[in-house]
Amino acid sequence: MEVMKKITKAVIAVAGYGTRFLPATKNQPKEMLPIIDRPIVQYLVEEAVASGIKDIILVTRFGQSALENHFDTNLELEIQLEKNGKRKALEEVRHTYRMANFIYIRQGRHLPYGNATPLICIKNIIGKDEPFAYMFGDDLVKAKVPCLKQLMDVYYKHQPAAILAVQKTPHEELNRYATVRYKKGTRINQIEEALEKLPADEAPSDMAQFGRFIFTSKVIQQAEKNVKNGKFGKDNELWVADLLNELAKKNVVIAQPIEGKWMTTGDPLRYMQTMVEFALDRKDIGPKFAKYLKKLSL
Amino acid sequence: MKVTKAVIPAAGIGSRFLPWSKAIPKEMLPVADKPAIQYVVEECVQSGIKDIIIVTSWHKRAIEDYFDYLPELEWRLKKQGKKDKLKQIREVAEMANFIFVRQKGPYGNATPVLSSRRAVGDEPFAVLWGDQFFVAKPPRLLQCLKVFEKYQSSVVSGIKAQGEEFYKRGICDIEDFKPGIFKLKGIIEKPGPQKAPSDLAAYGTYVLTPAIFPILEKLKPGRDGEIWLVDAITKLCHKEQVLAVELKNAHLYDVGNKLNYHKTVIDFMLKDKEIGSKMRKYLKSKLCS
Repeated sequence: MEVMKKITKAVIAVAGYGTRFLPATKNQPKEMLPIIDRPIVQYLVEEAVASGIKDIILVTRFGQSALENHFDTNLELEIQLEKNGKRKALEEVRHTYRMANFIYIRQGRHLPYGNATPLICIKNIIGKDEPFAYMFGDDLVKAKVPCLKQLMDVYYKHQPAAILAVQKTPHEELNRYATVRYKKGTRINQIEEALEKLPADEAPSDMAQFGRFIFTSKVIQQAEKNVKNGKFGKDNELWVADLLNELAKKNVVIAQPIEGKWMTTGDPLRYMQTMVEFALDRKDIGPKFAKYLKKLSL
Repeated sequence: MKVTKAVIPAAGIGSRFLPWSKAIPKEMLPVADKPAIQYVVEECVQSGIKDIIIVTSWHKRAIEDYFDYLPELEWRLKKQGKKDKLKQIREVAEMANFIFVRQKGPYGNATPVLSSRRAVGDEPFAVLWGDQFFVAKPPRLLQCLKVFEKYQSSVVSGIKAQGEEFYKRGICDIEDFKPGIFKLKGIIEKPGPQKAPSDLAAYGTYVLTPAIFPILEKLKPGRDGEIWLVDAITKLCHKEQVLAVELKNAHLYDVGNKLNYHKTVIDFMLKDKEIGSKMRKYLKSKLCS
């Protein structure tokens, strides 16, 4: 019997332009925007590490050196913190580069747009038949069991071609996301279709896909095939949902509902809401911040 | 003499925002859609300043790049037809003449001012901190510059202190001069309400004559073994007339610590035309639950 391959790599897509946050994101990726005192992307890395991931593969683009520097050593800063006796800050700084092995790949501008394009970039780092985690850099999940871990557990149980995380989403927001149609009588949340950004009334269910996946090399092959055949989806982009839709015809694709709360940071309003959620949870500023908010005349 | 140069110290390591501030300067903390330091620069520009001298250090390259053109991004925005955004990011680079100076010298907030000496030259100049700004009418620097232009003496801005601020701020030792304007005799750091010489707290805007530089050069370390700008200003008061101005219609936004940063961000969010009402609705439901 073939030995099941373990998931040790997580690919995080951070090559977007963050146009909605300009000019603030003029020379830094939007995934470096702060949530309290760490960049958004660090929460993703921490989720992956807590799920047992060893290698973090960040698919970046031109002008994102801040991201690489964030997960690197920073000797001058460390010396200064040591001198000033700021032990806690020093620990935080060291943690950023010690927690995983970081690999960076640039997404060239010759490649098509789309949330599946990073899959084209990473194909040579992922081994043959090696399952891996895929994450969108702007989705955060608050959960007791890390979201990625929940998906990995499902993978080890059923070994499908792909797993996507889904969450029940209010009707008026469904048009922002890909939604799924479950197979009739499925006990393992197998899907028939995944459809990108339909009007809410046409959406096959209220289960929306968000940026957490477990993929096998079949997904990468499908991405390559679609690019080769010039088969693009909505707005002429390469979409993850389209790949999964294609794969679901002949393979098992699971849409796993997650226990926890998915929050996105993809636009200014939702980024701010996520920031408030995280700030209120924090021991250091949470109580005082809540007091301030309650005093506002809303 | 007219003041055309402003010095913005932005060299601190921002340890309160670590690890976020590890690779990004704390002055780049976003408030609505702009980094905090841009609000400070805009206050200067609205007050007639032409040259912005930003005092930085080894990990602050992002500030220099931010106030520059970015051809790659411009190319992309042009291709996407996002004309408004394109205009916005070019304006950031064009709103003033930017000069960057690296900070060298002992710890303390007087050091960046001394580091800017060669760039300032022998003329009066303004100093504003890179992590606090005011929303004021007229702009707070303009309020100070008007007083400077009339009396040709150095000016320090002040706000009425309340409660805890007597323990946290420098309080002005003053004599009456004109309505809203005072003669400054010195600044007492964190005196507490009993020992406070007045209720006017010195708040982060300074218009200084070049007479400050020889004082800064000889300045001895004060509190915590660092060299402090207020100590130098107190010395300047003994040499020449220094005035304190009480700012009018001014709201301070200080993003130097996490709690105040979050308060600032919320205030701006609620004022936003596009998403303010949605944010209000969200907060209401969040706080009720």
